[in-house]
Amino acid sequence: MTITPVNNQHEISEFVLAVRARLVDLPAEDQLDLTEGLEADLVELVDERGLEALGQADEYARELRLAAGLSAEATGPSPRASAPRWMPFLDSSRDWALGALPGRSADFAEVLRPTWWVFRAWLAVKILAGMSGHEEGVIPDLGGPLFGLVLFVLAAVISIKIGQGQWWPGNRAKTGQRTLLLALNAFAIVMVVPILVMSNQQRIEWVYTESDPSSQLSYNGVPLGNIYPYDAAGNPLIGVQLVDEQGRRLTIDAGSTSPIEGGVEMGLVPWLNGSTELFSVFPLAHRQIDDSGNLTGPIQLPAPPYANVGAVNMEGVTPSLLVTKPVKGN
Amino acid sequence: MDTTQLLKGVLDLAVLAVVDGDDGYGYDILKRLRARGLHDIGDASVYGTLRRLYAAGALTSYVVPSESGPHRKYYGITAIGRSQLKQQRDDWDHFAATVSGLLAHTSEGIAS
Repeated sequence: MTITPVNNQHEISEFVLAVRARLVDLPAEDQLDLTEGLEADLVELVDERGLEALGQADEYARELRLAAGLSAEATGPSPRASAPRWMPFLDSSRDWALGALPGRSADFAEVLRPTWWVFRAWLAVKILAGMSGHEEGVIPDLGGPLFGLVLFVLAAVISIKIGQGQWWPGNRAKTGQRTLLLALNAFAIVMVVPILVMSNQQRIEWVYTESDPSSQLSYNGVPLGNIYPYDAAGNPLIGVQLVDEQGRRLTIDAGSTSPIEGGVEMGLVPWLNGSTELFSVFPLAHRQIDDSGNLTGPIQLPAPPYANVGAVNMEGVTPSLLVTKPVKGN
Repeated sequence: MDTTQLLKGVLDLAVLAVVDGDDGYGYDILKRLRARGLHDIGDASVYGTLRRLYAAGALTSYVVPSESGPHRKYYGITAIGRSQLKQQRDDWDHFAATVSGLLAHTSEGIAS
């Protein structure tokens, strides 16, 4: 049978809280035994018979205690009174929070619980990685291949088992254990934003690095002005496109290099792929820069530093053939 | 006659009887008892009895997440509970027969 959401959730939560307050002299386990599921029952009761069916919390608690074989009244605050009070407060807070959710959000929150269990495991791994200085990656490697992934899977299993109440602290958690779990969850929630920001910053930095002049092709830290490729026979090549192992074009920064030829400032001229300018095709040509900074005059292909750099070979590898016919431009 | 006092003496038996063979949650068990004629039974009395029977090992309990709202706590009968149910049923039959027999010898009983 399903419970239809009622509008009296606040009154019901108040009633449960009041009943629990009259059981505080009992051990936490007894309190849980007596009141676990009580709210769900009362929701149904009120749904069927109205709010007045709740009656007086005092009388209710008295009847509950007597029927359970306990003393009718609380026997005054026990030495552990402050601890048992905390448990009903936790229960009531949880029930109140779920009850306060509009419409079927409580269902949604229930569905989201496993997601949270996995997410907090990921947060734990990220926090651990951050502490050990290996925070890179969605699943950080933590210094060893697959180590981070294995740790994440392990953390996820533990987190799910805890969430299901199958492992520590279980469904009959003591006050201290439950408080510790609550504190850990709260810490995880607090860390969500810093961890996400940290992960995002790494991504932004990565993107930023791509357009950073310092990432342009350089030799011993000095940006390169041009590249002159040669074939296996040692002859210069024209129009060689370079990409790295991830397919990123190896680019020379046009702005940072202004070669001087005969006292005239020259600017690099990009190759074109359609209308896209490419500074990753070599060698790059030169063109004169006028006083207003515009490229002007004829395109000049600079002479390579060597006419021939000598033939090379590798056993079992057939090198590309030298292209002797120039490719016509557009 | 105030049946409340009578009810207290047989509440364990009544609860075990309605849980036998069919697990239920607190309010559900309460409704079963009322549906079978125990209209004056108090909510908290049933919940307290369930807890006491659970503590004595006559019932087992488990929490079932609800489709909406707070979780439900279900109770089911155990082997100890079944044994207790049988014993208390025999006791009740004997007691009821004794009282009925006793009443049959009163003037009103003989007259009818």
